[in-house]
Amino acid sequence: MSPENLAQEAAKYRWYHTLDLGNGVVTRGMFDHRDAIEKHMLPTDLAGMRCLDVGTMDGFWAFEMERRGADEVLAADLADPDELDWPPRWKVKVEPTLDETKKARFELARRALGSSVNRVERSVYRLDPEDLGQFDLIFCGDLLVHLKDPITAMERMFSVCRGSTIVCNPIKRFPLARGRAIAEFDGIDEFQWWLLSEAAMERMMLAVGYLRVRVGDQFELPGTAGGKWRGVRGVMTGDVS
Amino acid sequence: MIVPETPTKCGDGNDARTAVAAHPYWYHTIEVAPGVVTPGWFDLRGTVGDLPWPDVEGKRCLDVGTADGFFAFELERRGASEVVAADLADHTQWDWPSHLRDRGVEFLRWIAGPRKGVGLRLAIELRGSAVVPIERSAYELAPDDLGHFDVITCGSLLLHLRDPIRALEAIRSVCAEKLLVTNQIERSPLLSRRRPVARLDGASDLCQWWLPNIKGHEQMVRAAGFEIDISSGAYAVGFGSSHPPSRSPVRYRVLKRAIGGGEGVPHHAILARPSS
Repeated sequence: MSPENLAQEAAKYRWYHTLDLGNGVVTRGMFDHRDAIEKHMLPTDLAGMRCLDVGTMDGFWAFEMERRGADEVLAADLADPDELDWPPRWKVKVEPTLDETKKARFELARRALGSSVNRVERSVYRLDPEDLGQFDLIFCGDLLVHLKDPITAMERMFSVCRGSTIVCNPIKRFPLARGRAIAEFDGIDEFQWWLLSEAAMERMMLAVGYLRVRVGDQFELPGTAGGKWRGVRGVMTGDVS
Repeated sequence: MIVPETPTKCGDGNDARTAVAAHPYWYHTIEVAPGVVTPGWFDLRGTVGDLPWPDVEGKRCLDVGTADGFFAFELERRGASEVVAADLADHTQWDWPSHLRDRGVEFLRWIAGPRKGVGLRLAIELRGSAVVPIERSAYELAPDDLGHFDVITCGSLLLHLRDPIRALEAIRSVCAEKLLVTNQIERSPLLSRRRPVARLDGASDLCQWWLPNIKGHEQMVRAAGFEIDISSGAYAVGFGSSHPPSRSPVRYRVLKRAIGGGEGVPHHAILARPSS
């Protein structure tokens, strides 16, 4: 595909991730993680590893894991936007194209990058080692906050993890209750269910079975058009052994 | 018509006393025969009358997570025409955190009691009750086979669930008129009372997950598709005679009593109806 064609194709979509597709074509995503990559606890060298990106959207983290030398990268996301845990009142307000075109965006990015990442249509709630096998490294970015049941999601990730899982999520700071496992609950007015404190993220990982959790530094995501979701992120790595 | 609190259809008091004593674990404090009271972990008798009850006379009712059936018997006492009492078939089906599940079935029995449903069935028999026990998870309530219920009660269950919203949605799917839901609440002075928040447990030996404040409890019920008719203030569910004595220092217990609405476990009750 020529740079001109690629630019034309990319311009057809509203993008979730800012992706450098090469030849000067950069998608204008809701979120630009490029300056914050190193804050995400991703190992520099993933050679020999089988990796999974959960809730991949446009694939930024899947492509990044491939770039870091992973042997195999699987990128999981929902097939049907209706499967998302939409709060009913929120769903009628939301413009659906971002979720309806994510498969097409991912495929365009994959072709442009010459990537061999495989995309599978699978809810995080249905991750199953029986058919997917297990992974050395799992990455799950900005997903838990949108889930009605983040604990089951975390448990399913644990079930397919044989190494480590990195979870990054918007977090809420509770100044009077610092260090306590607390969440602010919505589920009505925002596409946000449990906005966890950092301690709650850690507690959740331990509760589903991760033996050890390494907590990274909190950071502000330098978003482009992320609106309220640009806020502070917590990141941590859970190890199964 | 509300019938007297003391059950009238019962066997010999001594037989009832012997049967109650032979059962090793009672969750609820229930009078199963005149003067014969089960030694439960929790005693709801002092607070049940203050809950925002709907009219249940002649109604088809369901009690979700019934344990030994305290709320089911209360529905019956208040004149329900039919009471179904739902609970899990087996303690292994609880939403155990991994650190408790890993300790094996015997440990789960030790913490949750012996075979599920035995206390309920014994209490039904001793009270001469017509409550119908069924083995069904809150998550699996569905109108296809259960039909709809006019009034549903759900007492102190949500805190034990990993996914309380899904359970409430399932309850809504079989709820025709009213839901009376009570839940343990978090009353820490460190938490906002104006914002809906919940403390996450998952680490203690109590199989507890989300413990909301009052606003959080209300928000959970609304997020599952209910409109709230009445929201109670905080109140304390009393401990029963079997509950282990508190190991907390006296000062801490006094503070807890002051902010929790009395001696016992801080609770909150909501009367709600399915939103249209």
